[in-house]
Amino acid sequence: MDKAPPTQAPPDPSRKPYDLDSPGALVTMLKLSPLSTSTFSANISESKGPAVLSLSGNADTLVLPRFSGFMKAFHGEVSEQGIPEVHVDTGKLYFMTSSCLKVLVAWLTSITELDSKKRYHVVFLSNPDLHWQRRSFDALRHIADGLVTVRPSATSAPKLQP
Amino acid sequence: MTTGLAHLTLHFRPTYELITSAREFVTQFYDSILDDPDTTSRVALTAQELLENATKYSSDGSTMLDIDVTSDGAAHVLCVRTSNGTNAEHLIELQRRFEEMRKSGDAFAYYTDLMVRTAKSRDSSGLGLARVWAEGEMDVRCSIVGMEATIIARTNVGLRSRPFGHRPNA
Repeated sequence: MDKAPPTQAPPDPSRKPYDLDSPGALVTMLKLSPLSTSTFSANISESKGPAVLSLSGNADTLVLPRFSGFMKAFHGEVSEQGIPEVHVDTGKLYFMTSSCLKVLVAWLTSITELDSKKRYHVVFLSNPDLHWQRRSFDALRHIADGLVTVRPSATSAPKLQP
Repeated sequence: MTTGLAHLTLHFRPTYELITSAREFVTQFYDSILDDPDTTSRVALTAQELLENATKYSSDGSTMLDIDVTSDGAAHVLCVRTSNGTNAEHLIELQRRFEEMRKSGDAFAYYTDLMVRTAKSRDSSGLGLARVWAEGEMDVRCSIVGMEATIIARTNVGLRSRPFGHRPNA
């Protein structure tokens, strides 16, 4: 029997001040340096509204320590700045091992542990051709019910790295 | 039962870079044999996770990855195996994890519960095996002979109508 998912209080809707069409919409600016290796990268883009974190390449065990440190710092900045929504673009993320997936689990757990007013929403922008993403993000959505949604990415890449 | 419809064996000393290459090779190889890219993706995920485990726990650094498709009448079964020597402590831990999985009986519930339980733990969590069971949708078993552990993951598959193409001069 599937257990009932743990219910998380959703982010406070009053913390969504961003009208993306408004000329005065806030631009999210984070100070964190990108993570870049020969096989994997994590970059933050400035955007109006949500912070956009793009993950590309192969998140394998080799990048685990750096990815873990990066996500802790990212969480620190996002929560400090009171950003209500983060988009994680995985359109070019070819694979993520379970050890790196655990980093995302720890990150989502940290969000659920925040005071409800500081909690932020996470949108995974997935690549439907990379089939593992659907299963992995379903599991993440299950453990962080109410905080995570999954949508298709606009930057989807072929299923094998060129 | 027919064996060796699409048999692939790699015997090597995996590094993390080689595991990624092996997963990509498995994807390309079985993409032209299996009838569903989603199934190929599950097989590739299984190969990656089992090889990562073998790399962590192999006593001499080497492991064998064996993937085979067998047919029994109209049904086809794909089996992924990794074998490697390991230490007594890991064998006990492996048996404990398989017992835990057997008692749970629900792959997705076990996987997501394990995610939550081990989220902040730095120790090895067994998430790779649970992922193979839940996301890979594999029937996962373990065989221990002496100090050698073999992990066996099976799933039913469909083959392309002409999975092996045309042989030259056929």
